[in-house]
Amino acid sequence: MLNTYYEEEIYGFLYREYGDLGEPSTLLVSLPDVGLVGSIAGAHIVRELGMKDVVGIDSYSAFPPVAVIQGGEPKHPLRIYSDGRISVLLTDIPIPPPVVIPLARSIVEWSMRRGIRTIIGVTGLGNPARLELEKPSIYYLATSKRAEEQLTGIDGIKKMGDGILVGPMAIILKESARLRLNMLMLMADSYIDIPDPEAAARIVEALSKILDIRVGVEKLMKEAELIKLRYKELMKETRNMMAKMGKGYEYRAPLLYT
Amino acid sequence: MSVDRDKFESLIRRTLDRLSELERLMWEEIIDTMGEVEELFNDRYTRLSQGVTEPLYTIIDKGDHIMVVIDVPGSIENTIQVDITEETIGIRAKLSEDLMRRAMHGIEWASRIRMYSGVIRLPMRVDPSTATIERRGTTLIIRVKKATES
Repeated sequence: MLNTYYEEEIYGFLYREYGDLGEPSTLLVSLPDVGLVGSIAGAHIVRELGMKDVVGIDSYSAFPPVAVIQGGEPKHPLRIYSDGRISVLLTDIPIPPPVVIPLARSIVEWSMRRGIRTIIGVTGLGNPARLELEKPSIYYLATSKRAEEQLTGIDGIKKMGDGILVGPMAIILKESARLRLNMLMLMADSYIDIPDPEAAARIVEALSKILDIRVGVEKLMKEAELIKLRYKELMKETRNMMAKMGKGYEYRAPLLYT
Repeated sequence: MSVDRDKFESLIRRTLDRLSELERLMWEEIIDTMGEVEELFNDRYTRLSQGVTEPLYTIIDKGDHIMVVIDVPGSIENTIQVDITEETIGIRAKLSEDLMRRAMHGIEWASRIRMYSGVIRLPMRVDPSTATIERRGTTLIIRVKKATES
């Protein structure tokens, strides 16, 4: 078992540091959601940059009793990977609906305590016409001018106009705005309940420019079939969770009183 | 002084009632989730013992017809069988052993899964004679007209 460097509890979640986190300025949040776009993009970046997991997140009362075994080592179901400059949050389990709010709040709180300057949330935006799209579009939301400025000089990313967001990213976005933490949210047109490596590739391309990292998408596209097969069961679990947390609200327009 | 005590007791009573309500809701949620987890276990265990896995799919209403997108990554093309009735779409396909082994990092139980098998219940009756099937990448796209009311 890896030695614990430091641990703390935030909103009922244990954050256990067992590796060198460094001083990352960015936390990339890649949670299972529409098309598993965030999960696939985050895992690809972790693999390509050779990041190591350094923080485990767990709750014995809120998560199923899961230990993820990697190379013979027991790991927590949620983990933060880091290369010292950028950190990435990944999970092996879908987030149960009752856990979404406290977990999202704890992620923002942990980020502030660790000096993270920008949270970047990546996810899919379910589009029933996805099949007809030659290339998925990317949309963004930002909680501050500074977060928005990270997109300066990057073409092809549109600001999301009106809509409703549901899930952990919605809470992270609101909490970041409330606590004045820079958050940039990137969303790619995606299949709703089929893993979408192509949409993830579009997100990775955007992140490469935003974060000034060299991560190609050739491998991601070449291994798309393998990835879809690997993520199939997580997608099934995530679909059930999405339905329970009210994801259906995303598919209607907000009521505008203007 | 007694008025203050009454107010205090009322506040405590309301707080305890609220906590009881929260506890009840939490347990309802837990029991609900446990039911789903049990269903997931039973479903996966049954399928694993049969050596099959269910494909993911999505159904899109296109007005006069429906489009069913079925994702069958790792399937061997010439083994795909689709059976369309007025109410269901059945699908079976052999899985590439090599791809499955690589996708699952060589986990032993995953090597027993050799087939895709599933029956998709359609949200409305369709006319199977109008069905078209297109393969695009790892997905099968089935377009079929809705049945006319007689």
